[in-house]
Amino acid sequence: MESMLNTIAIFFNHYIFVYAMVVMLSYLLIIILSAFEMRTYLRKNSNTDYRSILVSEFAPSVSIIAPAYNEAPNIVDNVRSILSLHYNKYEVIVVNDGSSDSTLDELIRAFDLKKQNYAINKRIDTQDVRGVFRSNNPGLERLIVLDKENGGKADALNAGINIAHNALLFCIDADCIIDPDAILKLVKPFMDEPVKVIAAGGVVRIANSCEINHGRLVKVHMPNSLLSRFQVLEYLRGFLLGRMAWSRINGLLIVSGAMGLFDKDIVIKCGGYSTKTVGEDMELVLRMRKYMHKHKIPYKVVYTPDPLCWTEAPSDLNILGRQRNRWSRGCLESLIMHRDLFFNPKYGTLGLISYPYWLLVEWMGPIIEFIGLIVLGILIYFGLVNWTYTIILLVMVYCFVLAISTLTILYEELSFRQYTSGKDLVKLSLLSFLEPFIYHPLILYWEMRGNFDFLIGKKAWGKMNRNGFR
Amino acid sequence: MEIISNYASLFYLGIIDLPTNIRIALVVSLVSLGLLIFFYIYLLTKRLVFIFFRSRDRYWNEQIMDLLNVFVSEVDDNLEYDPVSKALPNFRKLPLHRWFIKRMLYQQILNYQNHFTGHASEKLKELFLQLHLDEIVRNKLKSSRTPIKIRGIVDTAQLELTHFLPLVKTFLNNPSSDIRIEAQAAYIILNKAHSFDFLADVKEPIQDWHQLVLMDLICKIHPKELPHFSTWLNSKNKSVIELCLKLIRHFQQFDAIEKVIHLLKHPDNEIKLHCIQILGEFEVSSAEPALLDCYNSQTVELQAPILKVLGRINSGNQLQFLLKAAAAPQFEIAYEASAALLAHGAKGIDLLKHYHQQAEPMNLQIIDQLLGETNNKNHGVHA
Repeated sequence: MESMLNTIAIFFNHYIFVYAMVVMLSYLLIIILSAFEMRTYLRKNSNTDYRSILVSEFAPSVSIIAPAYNEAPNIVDNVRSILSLHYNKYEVIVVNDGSSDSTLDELIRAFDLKKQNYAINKRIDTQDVRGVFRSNNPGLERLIVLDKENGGKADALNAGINIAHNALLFCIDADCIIDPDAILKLVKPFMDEPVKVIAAGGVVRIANSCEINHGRLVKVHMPNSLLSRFQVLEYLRGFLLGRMAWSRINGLLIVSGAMGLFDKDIVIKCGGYSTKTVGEDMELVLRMRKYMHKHKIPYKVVYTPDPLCWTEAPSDLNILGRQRNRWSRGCLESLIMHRDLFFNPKYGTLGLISYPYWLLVEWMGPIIEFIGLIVLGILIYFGLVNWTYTIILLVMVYCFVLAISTLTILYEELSFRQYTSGKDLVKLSLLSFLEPFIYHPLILYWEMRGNFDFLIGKKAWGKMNRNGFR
Repeated sequence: MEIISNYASLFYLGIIDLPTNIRIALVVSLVSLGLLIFFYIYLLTKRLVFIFFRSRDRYWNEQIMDLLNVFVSEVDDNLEYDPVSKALPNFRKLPLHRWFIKRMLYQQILNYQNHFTGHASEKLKELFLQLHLDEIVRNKLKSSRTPIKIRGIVDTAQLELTHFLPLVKTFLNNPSSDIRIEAQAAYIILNKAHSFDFLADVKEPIQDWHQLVLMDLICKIHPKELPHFSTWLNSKNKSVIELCLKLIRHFQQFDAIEKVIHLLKHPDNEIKLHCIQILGEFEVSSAEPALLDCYNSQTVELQAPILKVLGRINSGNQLQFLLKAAAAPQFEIAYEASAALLAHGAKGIDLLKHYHQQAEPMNLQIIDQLLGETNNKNHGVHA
């Protein structure tokens, strides 16, 4: 028994240590790449006058698709907010995904909607459409409400895509607060890049405790709840560091489901969102990228670091747990569905860097960490632990994580500076010290639960109750 | 230095006997800790520096704005009166040898100039030149750093500093697209007599975004004499052709129609699409044969716009062709053809209603939707 435990300890000392070093090295590379990308973005766009797009007859037209399920209390405000986005050529398609509450009735009443004969080009298979509603008010000619049988978010988005008239699809969560200039800022890369841009995403930020008025963000505050505050730091790290870096090498695998702009033609040619996974946002980007590679069309998936979308973060442990469980399952499902990408040189950066990173670091990292903790527990139980060395190793991980979180706060301070008060800065800094002890273990647990649920074949989204913005 | 070296040797001697991974862990911890401290010092310094500069700049900004407010209020339409020579001594009293004050004055004059037009704007420019602030622009233009160079070009264009035109001209084909676009925009402003000459020499592609910016600028300044943009329709640079087609469409240059019809044979689909849209916008009935000629060899992406244009031209000569297309199995074709028939008024509607009885379910849905929308419109209800 003891010799077996010693073998495990030696394995962890050597191979897992090398793995940890590789992961840390990859984080360093991500930091460097994101710094370059951020600098390029800020320089390139410091003189940009977005009014040129706003008024131009030659700007691309956009179809905004907002799926809604049981959102009766906020749906009218949310749609009003979407209708007032700064852009000239757009239509708003709200898809009522078979809500069991009064979502549709609220919309009909608020916008004076009438059911109409509507020919649907069913390019993507979806659940049955019950009807298409448009307003009698000429001022609301941009608004189309589609009522359909419940089929989930992906199915609702696909139904919206089927009736979209415009070249670009702006897919958003109806319960998010979208910055009024979001379309302007996301459309620019589609017109600015020398190669075809197939998708563009933006930063998603936490709106808890922020001042919101009529669906518009008025003032940014640090959330009151500790759980939401941790998510602020986590989102900053994920979006400002991670996605910027992947954007730099055109290796982005995900455009957040909360907000993304897509080339409709490519989305349709790829068959739209998959209803077979709960990670439909990541899966779609993977499929679109594979399509472009298969047809040998040069392309890019870009990312805009401006804070364009504000979402309500779960402030309840159970809801957050369900969300993270779903994210883990979604990620794993997408990775398995596209396993042919693994170290496949045919797909360039996608096959050789992005996919292996997501599989070996993003997915496998928590599993190795979890196993490591179990092994550590066993070794402690049998008294086989060299405490000095263990503490040195734990201190290394802690210092490294702390340095990365602090660098993220610095990035935020040097770029968009949303948290202007010194108090918020101090709070963020303190959070980075506490996060590895309080928040990280929870996330690790939920990720493991997600992997377990995947193994037992769980497919549900999990109920997501929101408090709503006040 | 000696102390650091002593500590380094002590550290080295202390860890030399440890296992490799523990040694690496110690080094990583120390480096991370060092970086952590550095980040916090940097963060704190950045905040303090920001606070310091804000309070320092506030004082000088107020001084400069007071002077500029007085200057602008004294500028009137009396051309005899010279506010510049009167105000110059006051401005020269500012400690302009201090770089940051000179920069602030530079920036404030630009801000004011941006908000004024006519005589006041001209006098602000004169003041700018008299204070030799254009030297800052020259330095910016000669800077090797792209963002500074771009700023220099933008400032040159804003103040219309025509003496920098030769310098700006050298950037027209710059490898950096950001410099190129600003240089092309500045060239249009500075070279009033031959604003669009550069189109003949543009080698690099003008991206869609840049075309939009140029279009916006051209619409804003609206030169008195626009050239015939069809001149550049035979350019080897595809993006130049696209830009010219957009300009032709926007400025309604009907004399370009022949060349636009000829471009329907261009191998590039985007150019063809622009041509089709222009012919529709200008309602060129003489283009119908050319459009029909190219219809069969095109993909759905181009066939649908051709049908739309036939509806817009509304000559009444293509009703049977449109009716045949309205029965097509492709949604986009059937939709555009039916809409085009509808655009023909009573004749088209009659044909659609007649076809309605034998239409396939998809085509039937399309016709129902379009007829429903027409009815709603006729009854003053939006569809």
